[in-house]
Amino acid sequence: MKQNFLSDHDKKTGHTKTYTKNFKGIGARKGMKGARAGSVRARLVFFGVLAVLLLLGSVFSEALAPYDPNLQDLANAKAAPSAAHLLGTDRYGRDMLSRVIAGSRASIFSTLLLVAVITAVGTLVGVFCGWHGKRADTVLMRISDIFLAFPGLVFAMAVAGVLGGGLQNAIIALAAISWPKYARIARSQTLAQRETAYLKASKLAGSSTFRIIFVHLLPNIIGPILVTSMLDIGTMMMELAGLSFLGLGAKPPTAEWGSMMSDARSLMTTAPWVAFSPGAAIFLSVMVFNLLGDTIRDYADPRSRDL
Amino acid sequence: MHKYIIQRLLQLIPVLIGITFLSFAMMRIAGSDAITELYGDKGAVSQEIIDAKRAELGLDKPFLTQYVTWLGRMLRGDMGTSYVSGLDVWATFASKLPATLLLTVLSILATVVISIPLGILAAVCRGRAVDYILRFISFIGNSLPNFFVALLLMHLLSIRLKLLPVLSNGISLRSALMPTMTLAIAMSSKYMRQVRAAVLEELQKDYVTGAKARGVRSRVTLWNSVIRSSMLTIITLLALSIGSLLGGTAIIESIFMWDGVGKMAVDAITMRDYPLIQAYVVWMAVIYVLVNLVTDLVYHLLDPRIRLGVTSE
Repeated sequence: MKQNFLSDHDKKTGHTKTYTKNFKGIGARKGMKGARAGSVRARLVFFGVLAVLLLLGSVFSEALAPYDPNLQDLANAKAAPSAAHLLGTDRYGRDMLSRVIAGSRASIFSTLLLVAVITAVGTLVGVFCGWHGKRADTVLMRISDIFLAFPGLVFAMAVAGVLGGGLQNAIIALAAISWPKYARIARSQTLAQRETAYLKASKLAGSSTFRIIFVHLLPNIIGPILVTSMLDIGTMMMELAGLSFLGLGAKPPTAEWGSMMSDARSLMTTAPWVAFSPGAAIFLSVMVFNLLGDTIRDYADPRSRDL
Repeated sequence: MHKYIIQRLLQLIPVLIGITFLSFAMMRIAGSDAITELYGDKGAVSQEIIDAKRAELGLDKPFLTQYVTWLGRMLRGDMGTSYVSGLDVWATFASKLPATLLLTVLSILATVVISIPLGILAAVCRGRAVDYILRFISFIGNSLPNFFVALLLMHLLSIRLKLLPVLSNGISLRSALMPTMTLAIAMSSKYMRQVRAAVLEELQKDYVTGAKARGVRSRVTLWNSVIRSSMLTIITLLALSIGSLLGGTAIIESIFMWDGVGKMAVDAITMRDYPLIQAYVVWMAVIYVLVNLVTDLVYHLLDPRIRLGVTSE
């Protein structure tokens, strides 16, 4: 019995069930007792501000970088960190600090864009399947089974390889393999809501399907989906960097953290800082977004806390 | 039971056909093939030679013909030869497999040994210092990309302390140590969290309170009931990890020059070496079906209440 209950999707994500089951909606915080609710809210504001700063930094990275990230200065190649170059320089004498800042656009901004796109597409497909049912549902869900079956990065590698590398293609590859997860959640949420009284009432009142879905259904199911996408940002950032690291993402000389690290592999003995600064940048950004995701989950679903 | 296993193995057929067709189609849509990758498109090689080579490999035929030919050969056990090296695909693949298998076994062992005891410890000591420290460590581990961990380990163990060779020279336990550690760090951080959550969920069930009320030692409840039932969740997750590890961890294998199937797949994808890519895809599909089957069987062993989905038995 349990076997039927655990779909492949549940097996894969593991945690998804925990909070969709307990999900109380954003309004649930009102029931919480003072001190803890307050501390979650404080954490939410803190990590939210950090995340927004990272995002703004990535959008305005060109203005923030002290040097031109692609300016070569061979006389100063592989220089250790100093006052002039806080993070040192790489094999062509390019300033690492500027390259790390410039790389935030390719890494942070692209990741957020990617997550936004797959959330939107996955949700729409899922709602369509759940609402419409029938043949389209069966076909789309079988397709999503195939995608969910394979280890994500392998599939992304293949797609990125086929499309021929480049940051844009790496993003398309990751989007192509990641939407089914969202479609699954949206579908199950839609199925759960489809027969509820408020949707039937709306239908009886003569609302169009479009209105029922976008005005009534979506606001009620979007919570768990958004939490999932917030929790996914960190993973996506690492996978995107991973593809670039393999040479299937951003191409040199574009500053991107994964490809910068890949490039620095041969400098490990002579100039290890070239690998460490983009690595630390990925680590810190992933951590900020993971903390934000965890906090949002705690905020929306108090019962999942400590789990 | 046997009927069930056979039924599940038969599922392999549609999965295989679907997935190989998909990857076949994807590679053909790409626009460039092994020939353009081999000779470049600068016109260094005359068009006649290119056409001759294409005809030799059968790349000039219509897409469906190519697929059916390939499928027919594969069913007879002939996976073809690599476009790039000219070697037999099956032999090439078999030569890469031991490295990946070794890495899979070692890193799963390391992960189980690290994450299960620590996860249980964190759950039992919930809210105390040990719990916070362990959760902090697992959080850090979860936020570190594995290629960064690999480079850090390389820097520390090989360059600074000179304990291990930087790159693997052949497949030995010594050179497997760093890739194993890299994979174990990432996976243990993930599993520590999952084990903790699974054990906590189980600890909150009524039977635990009941046992406590009847004076059963909490240690006895923990070992005899709680851990046993929370292992179900853990095994599912581990099985999935085994599946993806058997597919080769492309990044780790290429950082450490570990000659496994993951690295082979990356190379094959960049060179558009279709027969090799297809062999890899078939391998992944087989793993997927087998891992799921074994997981369900283990479920059944651990908890006989879980019925295997047999329609007629």
